[in-house]
Amino acid sequence: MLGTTVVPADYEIGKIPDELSHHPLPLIYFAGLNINSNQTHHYVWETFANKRAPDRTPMQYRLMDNDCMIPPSKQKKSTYDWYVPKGILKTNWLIKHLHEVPSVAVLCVELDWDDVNFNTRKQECVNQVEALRGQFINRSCRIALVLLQKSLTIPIEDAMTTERASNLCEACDINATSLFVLPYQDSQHFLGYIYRMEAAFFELSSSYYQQEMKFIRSHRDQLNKTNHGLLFVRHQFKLGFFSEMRQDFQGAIKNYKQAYANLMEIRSSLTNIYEIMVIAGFINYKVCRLLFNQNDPREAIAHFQKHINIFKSKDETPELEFEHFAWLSKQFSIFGDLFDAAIASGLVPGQIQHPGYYYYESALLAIKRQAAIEPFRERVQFINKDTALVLIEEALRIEFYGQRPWRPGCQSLNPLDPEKEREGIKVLQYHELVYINHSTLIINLLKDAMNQFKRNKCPRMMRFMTVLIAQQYYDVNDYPNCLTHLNQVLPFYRTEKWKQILVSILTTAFNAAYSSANLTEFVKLGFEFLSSWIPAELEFKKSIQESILKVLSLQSPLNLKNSEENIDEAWQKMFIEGTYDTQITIKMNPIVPFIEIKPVFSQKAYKWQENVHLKLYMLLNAPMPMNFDKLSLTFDKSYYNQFCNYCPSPKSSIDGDTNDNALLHFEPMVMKCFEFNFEARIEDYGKQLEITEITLFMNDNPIKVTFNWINENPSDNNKCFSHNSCFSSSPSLTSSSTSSISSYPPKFYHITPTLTTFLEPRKPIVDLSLVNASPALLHEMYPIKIVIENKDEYSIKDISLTIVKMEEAAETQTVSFILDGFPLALGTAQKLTESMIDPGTSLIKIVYLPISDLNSQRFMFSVLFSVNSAESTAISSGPNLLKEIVSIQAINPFNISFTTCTPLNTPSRVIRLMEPFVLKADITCLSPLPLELIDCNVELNQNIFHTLPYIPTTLNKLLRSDDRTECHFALYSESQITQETGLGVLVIRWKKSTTSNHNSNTESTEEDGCQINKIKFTLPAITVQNSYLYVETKLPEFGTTRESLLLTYNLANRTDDLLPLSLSLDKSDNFMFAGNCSVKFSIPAKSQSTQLFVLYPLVCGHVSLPKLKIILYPDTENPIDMDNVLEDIVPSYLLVMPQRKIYTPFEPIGNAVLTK
Amino acid sequence: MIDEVLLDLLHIELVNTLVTPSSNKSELNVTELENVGHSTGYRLIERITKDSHRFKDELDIMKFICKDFWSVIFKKQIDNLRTNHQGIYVLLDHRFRFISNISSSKQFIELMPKYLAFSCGLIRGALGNLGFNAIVTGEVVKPPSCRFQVQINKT
Amino acid sequence: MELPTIIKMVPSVILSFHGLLMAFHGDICESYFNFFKCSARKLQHLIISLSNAAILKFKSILDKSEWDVVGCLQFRMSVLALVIVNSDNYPVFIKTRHDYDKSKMSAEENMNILYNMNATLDIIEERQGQNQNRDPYLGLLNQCESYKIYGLLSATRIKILLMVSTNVSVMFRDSEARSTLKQLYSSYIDVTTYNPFYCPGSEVQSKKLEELVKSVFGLTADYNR
Repeated sequence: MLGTTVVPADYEIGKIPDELSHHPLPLIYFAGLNINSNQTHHYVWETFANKRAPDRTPMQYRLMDNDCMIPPSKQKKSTYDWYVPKGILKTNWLIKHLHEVPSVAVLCVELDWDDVNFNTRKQECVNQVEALRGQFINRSCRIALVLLQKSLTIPIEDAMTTERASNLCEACDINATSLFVLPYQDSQHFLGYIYRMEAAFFELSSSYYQQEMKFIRSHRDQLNKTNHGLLFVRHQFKLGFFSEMRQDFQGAIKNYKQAYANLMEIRSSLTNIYEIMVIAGFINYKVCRLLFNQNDPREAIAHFQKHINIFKSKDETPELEFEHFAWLSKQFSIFGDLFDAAIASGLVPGQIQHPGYYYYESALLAIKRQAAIEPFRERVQFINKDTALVLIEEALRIEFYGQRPWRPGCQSLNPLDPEKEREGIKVLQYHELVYINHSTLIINLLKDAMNQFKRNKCPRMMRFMTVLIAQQYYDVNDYPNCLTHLNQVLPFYRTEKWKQILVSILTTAFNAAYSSANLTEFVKLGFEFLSSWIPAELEFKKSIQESILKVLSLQSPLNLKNSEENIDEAWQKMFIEGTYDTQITIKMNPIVPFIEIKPVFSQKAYKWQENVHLKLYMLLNAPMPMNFDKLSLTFDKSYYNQFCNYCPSPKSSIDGDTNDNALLHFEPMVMKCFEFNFEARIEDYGKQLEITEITLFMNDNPIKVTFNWINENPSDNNKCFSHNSCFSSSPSLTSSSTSSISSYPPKFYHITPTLTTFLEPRKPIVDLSLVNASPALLHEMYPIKIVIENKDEYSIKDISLTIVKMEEAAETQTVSFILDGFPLALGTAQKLTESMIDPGTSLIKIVYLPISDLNSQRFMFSVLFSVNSAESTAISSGPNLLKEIVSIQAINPFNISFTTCTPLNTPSRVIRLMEPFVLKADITCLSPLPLELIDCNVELNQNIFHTLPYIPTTLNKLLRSDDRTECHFALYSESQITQETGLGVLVIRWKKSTTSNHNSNTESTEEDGCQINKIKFTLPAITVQNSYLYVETKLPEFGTTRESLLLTYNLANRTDDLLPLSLSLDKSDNFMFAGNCSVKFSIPAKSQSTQLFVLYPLVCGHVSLPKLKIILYPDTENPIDMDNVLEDIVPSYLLVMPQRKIYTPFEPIGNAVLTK
Repeated sequence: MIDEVLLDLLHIELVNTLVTPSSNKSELNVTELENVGHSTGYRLIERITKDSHRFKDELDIMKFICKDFWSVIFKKQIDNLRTNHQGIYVLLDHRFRFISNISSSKQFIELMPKYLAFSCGLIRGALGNLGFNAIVTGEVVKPPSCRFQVQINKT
Repeated sequence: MELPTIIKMVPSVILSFHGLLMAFHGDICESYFNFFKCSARKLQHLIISLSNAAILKFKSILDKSEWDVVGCLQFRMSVLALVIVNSDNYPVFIKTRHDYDKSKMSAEENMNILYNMNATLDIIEERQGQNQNRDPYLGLLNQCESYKIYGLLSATRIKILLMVSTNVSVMFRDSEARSTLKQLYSSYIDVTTYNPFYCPGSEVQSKKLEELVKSVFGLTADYNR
């Protein structure tokens, strides 16, 4: 260090000198190598010293010249009794042991074991060793001898080698372990030899340092704490250092920590406080660095914290307060560097534990440092600069670290020479003021901090650093830089809305813009500052507003700062040079608004050909009235822009009342409303209409200003134009602020802006009508004509029909209707086969609905369709829905009464087993419309049969209202029925008469009314009685007087036994007859017996036949008289005709019996 | 329990006052009532979560709504919670208090939605304060059983 | 937490919502409020009489020990700033010692404190994403040379930050921070839920809260309320 030129700027408080930050490595000297002329030597040296792989043993090698002087060791004191140390740590000690005093000196000699002149060469070698020894005065440095040999391998240990080796060692007075052989021509193993030697050198070096430490420790007993406190520190520091040299880091940490502890025991006074601080800083540096290297960051942080806590409040005289802050600041930045270095080699920092905070703290202290020196600026002006410089240079060459150059080595506790002190301190202050650039220092620290915060997930902290940097720039009047930095963070703090922070930044930025005559920024920030949200003095705001207007008309602003600085000049200069924008655009969305706009569409949607009505509410919250020249709105469809321009001339007036109202003149806190009306274009119907931008113009001045609101969230009505509760101040927010604004119009606050509206497309002109002929008849498929008439200019398509029976739950709609001949379910949409209805045409469909009961029923017909209008959105393409409800009142088409008759056509309720009976259906038509009866059939229950093979009867009878018709069915039952049981059903197939459909008031088509309906009536219930006997009578249709006729009774036994009976035919005046008048006989089971009578009518007319009497079981106790039964089945009358002239033979007896 | 009755009565009056017939007769205008519910829910959740831990995730929040939140208001929990794990949750209350006293006949079913609006708002408000933008709809399944569907909008 | 809460809230919401209060509702609300007020007052009396006893007992212990109320106050005096931040990170309530006593803190320091409080949101946002500990009380969030920041993060993402100076002899303890933050949180909830005029998202104005905050700053002796 001696001899190097020093510059005053090198003097840095708390700086860690290079020798301290240097990594301690064992120092090895090489002697005997002539690297410049000897190739081999060069190669050996290069391998040791320069081609170092990272895994090599850490070593520092130096070449030793022959005349190299090793600093001699001072004669150690035999006793410390009277020794008073002058300081803690000498500035040259570390350098000495790092770079000058080796632990091992290696002598390289070319000597082969089998050298012919071995002995001569040996002597030379011994001499060289001796010479080397001579260079170390009082140094116990180890000496090693390396023999560079030509042989290709390590020679085999033979007697000669061993002998010569021991001989050599003896002669040189070195240990056998310090003798090395290097066969430099063995290129294969050369590196291996080197590494092994290196390891051995390290051992030697280690033992050297060990010895040094032992030596230092040996002093300890002679020291006492009262006098030698400094030595305790010094020795302990040295121990730490040597441990480090040995690469014993744990030991080093222990020793350094002890040194720190010893240091803390020293009584501090004004004399030595700075020295203690400096040394403490050094030791702390060492400890922390070692701890970081040992991957123990927690301990490092803890140690640093302790260190800071001890020295934080140890302040010196106010004159030197700056020095204390400087030192503290340095401590933090040094620790930050150490931390950062540790991160670089793999340590993972945390969000709240990383170098950023230390740099930040350092910067804060640097700011304090700057503040602390500021008061002395004037005092220092009168200093003799030359003597000051001398003293500063002195300070850089001081013998002990941390001592004052004007009193080196002073450790006395006596009061100091006040004059000398004052002068000395003055010099330090002078240095601080002249040679230290505080703001650069601070800004650099802040930038370091900023980078760290950025890296470690602390964006807000990072922005805070940016603000602090800007503040520094502001303080040194570097306004452009200040503004650049503030503009970086302003958008963030505007959205963060921490009022005090934002206001503080805005204030600084505004002042910077003002002071640097930055017109654009001044106007932008000035307008923002006017907002009532910013709590500033009203008067100040007014002067800002005035200034803005002045600036816009190229005049200097008012003096806003109340400072002597002649800012006016800067503005004038700027105007003259013309370095300003003539057009300023202010984006209003992000900034604190001084004027607020809320656009409101009167409706969420506008119907076809309805005027769009738009209101624009505006409110100025600046302190003074303001005028604008033009207001314009921009829509997403630029066509409408023309309707929403407002550029008032004195004549035009929208609000109409006063001129003032019509102008774009705003009074503070008075809400104004502008209205716009326009018609939408046809092609825009069916689309959204959106305001994309609102622009206010201030064009009256040489510098034109445009205020621009942009709709940032298209189709999001709620967040438009950044109108959030915090910037657009609500009454509750502003009442606390100092600004004395009159209350906010609550009406404005409650307006919800709407930025979009919808232009509803018109409905297509399509009619749906239902035509039906009431009434409906029960159980008919009731025809309803659907007419879909397209009156629009577009064709319609995708037509589907849904019929829902109302007042009925969905799941019960199982009934189906008939369309195009197919049954389809109710309640589901049916696509119509017709794909399209062209403009001007209609679609007619007939649907048959089932009429299942007599209640009044309502059906809803819904027709869905789309409009085929690909080219236009103005018409709602659909699906469009048409609905029509039809109400149906049903009546019964027929009234039917049933009667059962005996085969003799006498009504009878009694039906007997196996005996035929007649079912008569009397059908009355109730329908007002003529009905055509197609046929009429019965569906019989089991056991009931037709008497004859069944042929469906076809009637094809036309019935008009109240017409009647009858149907007869001859039936019999095969089994006895005791419970009343239905016979079955009567099925009538009918349709509405086509020929006389005169009730229908529309033109009837052919298919109209042709649907054949079925109606079913339940047949009456009957019981079937069992009978014993059946009598079948055979008789001609009529008789003729005095002509005999044959009367046959077929008697059938219906029982399973022999049936005894007595039969008699009563006498009659009308007839003469022949046959058994009275007879008794039995009929075997299930068989028949025939009784024949020949009758001879005597009178003509309707004459009663002789009465047949049958008594069953005549001779038993319970004879059964069959009179009742016979009455029903045996004819009792016969028509007797007068005798004719022409003889008519008997017709064969056939069905006549039944047809009668 | 006087408290419960009071809430019921207050709710009835809320419905009567705030649900105005809209131009379209079939639809009830429940926006205002829903908004009252929203504000109430927003405030209420603040209070209910006072002593609870922060929530792990969306599902954790929904569980809280179903259990604690519902219990505070209705003295019972939601009976069934289902989710598609994509932001849609279905909450089933088998016996929803605000409609449990209304006859389940046809004529009242049309009116029932207005008795759900307030509660839909409550859920929406609660979720809103917990940081989730949601759409909440309610439907009467079979009186007095109700289903609330919550659709959380990811922002 | 019992049912009346919601009933209390509904009318206040209506009140604030549209200023709409039909006569009938008014009746219900009023009578209910009266009812509730009564019971609340009774409850309060009970609590006060109970806590008075407790305080007396506590005081007797205090008198015997080295501890004194002044000591308790002292760590209150170390409170530098208090911020309540809502879920949108908007500060609904800010108080720093500067607001009470301009001599104790320079305007610059005050701003730095605010920036630091603001920056603490970074740490909270980081914590918000972590799931392991979901206790609202976050504990010590950050510690710098001259201050410590304690925080609370509620389920509704309300953040309360308390900055305490480390440059005082009496250390602010974690338990103290916890109870203070909980107290503040509870008071905040009272304002934002029961005050019918409070509009969510706006700044909080409440005498009660102010009083509590004053005691947190150690400006009123009766910090136990």
